[in-house]
Amino acid sequence: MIVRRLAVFILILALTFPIAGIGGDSAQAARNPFITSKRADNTPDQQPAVGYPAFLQPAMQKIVTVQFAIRQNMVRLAGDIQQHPFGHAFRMFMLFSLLYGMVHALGPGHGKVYACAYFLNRPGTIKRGLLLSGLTMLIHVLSGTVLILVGALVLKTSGAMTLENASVVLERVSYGLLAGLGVFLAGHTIMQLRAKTIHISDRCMDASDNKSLFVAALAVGIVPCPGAAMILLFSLTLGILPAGLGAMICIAAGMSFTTGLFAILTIVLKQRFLVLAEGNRRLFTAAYTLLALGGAVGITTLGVVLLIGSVL
Amino acid sequence: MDEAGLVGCHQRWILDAMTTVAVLDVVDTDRNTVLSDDEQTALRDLTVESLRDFHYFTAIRVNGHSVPVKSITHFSAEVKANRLVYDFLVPCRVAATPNKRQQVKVAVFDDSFYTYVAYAAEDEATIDPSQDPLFANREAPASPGDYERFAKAVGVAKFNGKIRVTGNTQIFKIETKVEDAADMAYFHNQIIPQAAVMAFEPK
Repeated sequence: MIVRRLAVFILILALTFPIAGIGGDSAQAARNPFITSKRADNTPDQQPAVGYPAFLQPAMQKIVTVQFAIRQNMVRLAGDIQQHPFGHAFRMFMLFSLLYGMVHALGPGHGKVYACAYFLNRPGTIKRGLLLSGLTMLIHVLSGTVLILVGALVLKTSGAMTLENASVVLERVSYGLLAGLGVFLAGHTIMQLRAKTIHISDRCMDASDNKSLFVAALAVGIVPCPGAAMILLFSLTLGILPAGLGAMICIAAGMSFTTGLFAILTIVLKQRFLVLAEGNRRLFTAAYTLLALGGAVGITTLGVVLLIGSVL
Repeated sequence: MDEAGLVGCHQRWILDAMTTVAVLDVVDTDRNTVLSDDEQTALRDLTVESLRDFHYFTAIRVNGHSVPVKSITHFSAEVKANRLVYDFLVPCRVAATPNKRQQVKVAVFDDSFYTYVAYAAEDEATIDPSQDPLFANREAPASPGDYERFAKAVGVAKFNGKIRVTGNTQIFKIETKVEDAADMAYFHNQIIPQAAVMAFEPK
């Protein structure tokens, strides 16, 4: 009975990852193809070895068009905001920004895979899942906001190009941090296994967990979100900067919601999975090792591969 | 088309307002939303260079075989109603062969998931969200059919317009249609684009 239930949890966990990693098994979001000279994934013609489930096809098709539809509504509302800066259109603009963030985070990047991998390795609670996703998305939007504003208002040049140029550097920083974080988490896990201090209770979290959570949020979030940045740039150009800045907060909140769902799903499934195995010490150790090292190795591998890909 | 067969595929892109702002932010140095000659040149260079890695969003299959798009020609751009309009030709030389039907399939999409591409007939080249009967109506309750209603009203539903063939067409037997191209699925095979299909042979 236990073995069967364990198998079910493994299956659900295995499904969580492809869904979380749809189209972007990495921290990077797509770059604006109209003004960048190199695509972010560097693999324009590569097909994945393993395809994603066919039942996701209609959903993916809809994600693209819904994002477009939301943005078109925002364009229309922006014109009304010019006339009445804090009227009904402003509130609708914020609402659409929230929706945009929720849908946009379902696309490539936005750290869904990393949030899942991180909580496979480290103990977590729903609160910490929300903290990681909230912090990550806040940094993700903030980095783009700062770059656009510095480019346009301080350097008096193209905000869009400032963002693109800085993204190249920030992506490498992100990948380096992720590789380092993965190595640290793997080392920490191995030390725990040697000292036989493995646990699933969040009461046993140490100071390094807070630091690693912050590093994970920084590593994933530091790459600016081009979708949010485009909305800010649009608002800036139309002279409705307060609405643009408000939209950034709403987009961050919407993206946090979506990414947080994946983090919480991982935390809950992992806890259930380990509780099932807790009665059998050998099985528990094996299950814990598999999940914890799998998460750490996943983060390291993606960080290293993306870092090499971005340098070559 | 010329007397030898297919020359290429002409495309007109109308960028949405947000993408237009982002591109003009780079090239419209005097911020007057009018492209001077220098700005036109800068935009052409930027577009040709930046979209190369993305194959100019164009996938082509000739008789079932993929033909990578590596360049574009005859690029021009202008700003119309606050939207950038690009015109260009994707070269694709397919010679007509007696007693052989040549099939060319063209789909336009951004496989990086950044840009949403919607096909539009020549006389319906805009997508207007205000056409939605419930546009920005805060009293309207959310319902499961919201997206379908919006897509139908606004014009982001599937394309069912015609494909225009120009040039030396009278010496060929030409058929065109638009179909869902499962063999051109992208984004981890998650999205099946619509493709323009043209079959031709000498008369």
